[in-house]
Amino acid sequence: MLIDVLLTVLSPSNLAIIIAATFYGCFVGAVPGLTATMAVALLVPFTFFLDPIPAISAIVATTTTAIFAGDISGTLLRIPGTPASAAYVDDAHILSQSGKARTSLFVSLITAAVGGVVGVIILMLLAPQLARVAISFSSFETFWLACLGLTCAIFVGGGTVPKSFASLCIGLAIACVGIDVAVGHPRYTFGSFDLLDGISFIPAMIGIFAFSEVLRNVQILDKPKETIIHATEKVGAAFVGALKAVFSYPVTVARSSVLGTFVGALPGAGADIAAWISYALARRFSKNPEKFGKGSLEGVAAGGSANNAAIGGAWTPALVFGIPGDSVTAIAIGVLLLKGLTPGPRIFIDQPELTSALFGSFLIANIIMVPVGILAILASTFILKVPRAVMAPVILLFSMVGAFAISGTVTAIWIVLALGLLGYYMEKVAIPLAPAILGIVLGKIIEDNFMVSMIKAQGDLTAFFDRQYSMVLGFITLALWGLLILRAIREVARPTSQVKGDI
Amino acid sequence: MTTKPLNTLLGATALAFGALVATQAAAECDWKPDRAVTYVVPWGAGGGTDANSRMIASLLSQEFGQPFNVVNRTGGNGVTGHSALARAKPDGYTVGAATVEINTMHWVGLTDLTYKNISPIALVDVVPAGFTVKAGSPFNSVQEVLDVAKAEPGKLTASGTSQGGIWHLALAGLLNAEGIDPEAIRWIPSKGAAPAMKELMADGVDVVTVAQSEAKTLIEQGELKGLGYMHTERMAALPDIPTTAEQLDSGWTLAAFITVSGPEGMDPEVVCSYEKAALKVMASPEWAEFKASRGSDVVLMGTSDLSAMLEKSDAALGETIKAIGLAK
Amino acid sequence: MINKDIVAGALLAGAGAWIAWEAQSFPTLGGMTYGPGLFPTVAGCGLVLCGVLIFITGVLQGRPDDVVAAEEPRSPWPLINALSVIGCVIFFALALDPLGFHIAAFPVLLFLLILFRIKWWKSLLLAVGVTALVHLIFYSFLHVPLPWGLLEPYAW
Repeated sequence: MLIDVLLTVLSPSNLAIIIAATFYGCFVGAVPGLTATMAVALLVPFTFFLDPIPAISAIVATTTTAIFAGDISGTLLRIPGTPASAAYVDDAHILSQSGKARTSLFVSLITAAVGGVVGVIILMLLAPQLARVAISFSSFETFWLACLGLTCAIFVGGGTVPKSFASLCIGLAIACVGIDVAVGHPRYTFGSFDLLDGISFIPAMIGIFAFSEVLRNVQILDKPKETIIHATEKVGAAFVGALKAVFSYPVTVARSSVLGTFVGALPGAGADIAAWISYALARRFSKNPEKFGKGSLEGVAAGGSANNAAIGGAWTPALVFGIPGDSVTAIAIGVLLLKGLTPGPRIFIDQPELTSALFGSFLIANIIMVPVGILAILASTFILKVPRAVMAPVILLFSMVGAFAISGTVTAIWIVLALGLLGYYMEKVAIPLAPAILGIVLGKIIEDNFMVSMIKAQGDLTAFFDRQYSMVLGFITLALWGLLILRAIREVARPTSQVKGDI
Repeated sequence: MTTKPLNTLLGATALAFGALVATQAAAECDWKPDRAVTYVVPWGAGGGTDANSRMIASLLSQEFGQPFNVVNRTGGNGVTGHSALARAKPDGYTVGAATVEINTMHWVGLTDLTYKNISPIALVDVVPAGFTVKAGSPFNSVQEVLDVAKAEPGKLTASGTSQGGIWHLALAGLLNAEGIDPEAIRWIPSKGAAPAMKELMADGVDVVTVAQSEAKTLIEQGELKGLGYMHTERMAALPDIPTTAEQLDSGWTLAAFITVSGPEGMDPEVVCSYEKAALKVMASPEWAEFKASRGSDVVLMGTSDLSAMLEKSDAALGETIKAIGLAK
Repeated sequence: MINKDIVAGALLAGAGAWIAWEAQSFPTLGGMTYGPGLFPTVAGCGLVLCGVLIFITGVLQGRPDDVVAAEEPRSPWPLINALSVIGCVIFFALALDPLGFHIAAFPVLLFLLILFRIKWWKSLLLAVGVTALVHLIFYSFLHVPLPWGLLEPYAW
């Protein structure tokens, strides 16, 4: 039985499809602005002509590599591929600028593969149970979880306290744009139809990170050559360095992978929160917390493994209940249905060959991703040798077209410009960017779930502690906040406080 | 100067002849795109409209030999995408999925767009609203739920889409038709069908009224209980679940629909070419297989019937929306 | 005596006040005292508070920044380059729909490359090449509907 499945998954034709999908996912993921969702959506017409197992393999392999490949544009161009990878994009980009692009990318690749494998192993062992827990999260629990995620702002910051909070508030304010969930009132849309749905994440990222970077780069074109490091690390050395780095943080990688899978299983918000919490925890328990945000390989490892582990997590509610956690799994469910495979609690009993094949493809995709990823890293790092004067206009064009590609409207380009100028100014006056990004990612989730919860409970705030999981999460969050406030007061009270110290 | 009238006459003849040729061509319906076509979908990737539209787009692409690029223009509870479709250049290079919201948005004051601002081509899907509860729920029929709603207004909650969205109208309309306050079951807004079903599974709400096809798999797997769906006749894909027409005195029904449509003012020649192609691909075995996999039936309805249907549906939905007090 | 913290603090507080003020006009939920305005109000007030704190820090610091940098003879190029980039984005956004992707992208690339002192013939080649590359990747391969604009009659 198992042998049969293995033979199907490992058959030459299926392997060929997985390899092709890996290359495809790598390519789409690495192009600025294009997401894993888009890669999978474009793949759908081709899956019509495939048998069920190759179809699933293709989708799984595409997602896995596209999520990793988002780190390529993140590291080299400061354009994060997913909201999750925004957690560590600055670390990766700073490493790249100090000549360690390949090391950083290899760390991303290895930890992505490790995270992916851990994710699928947990999926194999615990999917039914994990899905049962994930599905019992209503708006109350999701609200608390997102609040917990927002607490990470304190750990990912790096400016003074008022500036970190200012940054967070900027993010939350940006998340308020668009119609609200409760009554559908348009807010701060200035009459634009395209803003009704809020500021989409990808143009916002491209603006805040990439465009502001272009703006800074074009101002130092005249600087003498030696201040610009061209990354020409030896491939072998970089790979060994990356392996060493990964092996020196086994706990971080393990913790992030497991956490990524579990938090990633929660429909709606999981994957985005997972990487941020992993990153914040890695910093909290790191021996070198001061390096986080300034080029920490450990930060890249934490975020990278959580990011890819969350893919396995996202499949649990999709497989077990047919309830998709994100748009990728939503599309995948459509393909499953089309192939006559019905996700649901009985899928493991009724269609064991399908689930085994899915797990098998997941594992193989994660393994094949490594050589393909190495090729992609070698192919892409050549752009580091291109002079800035040439790169800057090219990145600018890719940024604008990438933003346009998400929604097909020019509004996206205006968002890039506006938020790019904002990001540029924030860095100029030493306001950290990370809390703002976290605010944009989580602001909507927090508000939507708060409002929905309050409509359900008719304004009764105690409802947030009525349900079992909700109560536990609520107390954890409040206790954590209490501790943080206490610590802040102590620091202020002490005259030798370091509050302003670590700009 | 005497030659001028002659010229005019000649010109007129030429024009008339040209027009004749044009009408003849129109009857043939053989317009073909000679470059990529944009296919606007007003809802997000992964949803029912998206899945149907991507399938149609890919079949049309094979039929016409040109790429059909699907663009998800989400936002504003459908306003953004429908506006993008209605306002596109009617040259045949932008078509898209106009959904039932084209007939509800203007009544609730979201936009001025109506079905008159699009050129309907063909019907893609009819999606009856469901009435689904969790498997462990004490309710076993729609009537039992309604009795509780009547006895204790505001106790029960339901979800499925945004405030004033189509599944909300389905529920409020049903309550109204049964002589109950439309707000007796409180509406909890959600970001779509999947989050609403998650809330139902998590005991966050009591009822969801999303499309019956969305809940189909969970019903089959014994996690949810389908109490009924708001249609006149039972669907081939769901023969065991009774319709509201059978169960309720009012015989209330409500089905959402997905169309393929073009912008307002599209050349009839282009419209009928698309109609021909769309009806052809929807008669194909691939399409039948796709529909069966999603638990819905194949519908074949061309431009003229669809236009009539849109007009009727618009009036009916308008009445419902006014009756339940959501009209603006 | 003006430094960047004073300016930033004032800007943030101002923006926050506007956001919070605007939020007061939003409707409330039936039967509750809050609604869509709650979160913008929280974010806006937070911004005002942080803005004031940053402003105070700036005043306490009291010295204008970049004293040393200001004394160096400053080249105008950084400013010209940055403003050109911003101008190019504005041009691209305005021109994309009416003129089409190709007519919008090519001059942007050419202008910036020449501005950044790349030899004119290299710039020309690069601008043509990159425009074609973006067309190939996004339009042909990834099916992003880049607008044709004026080139519509020649579209393929």
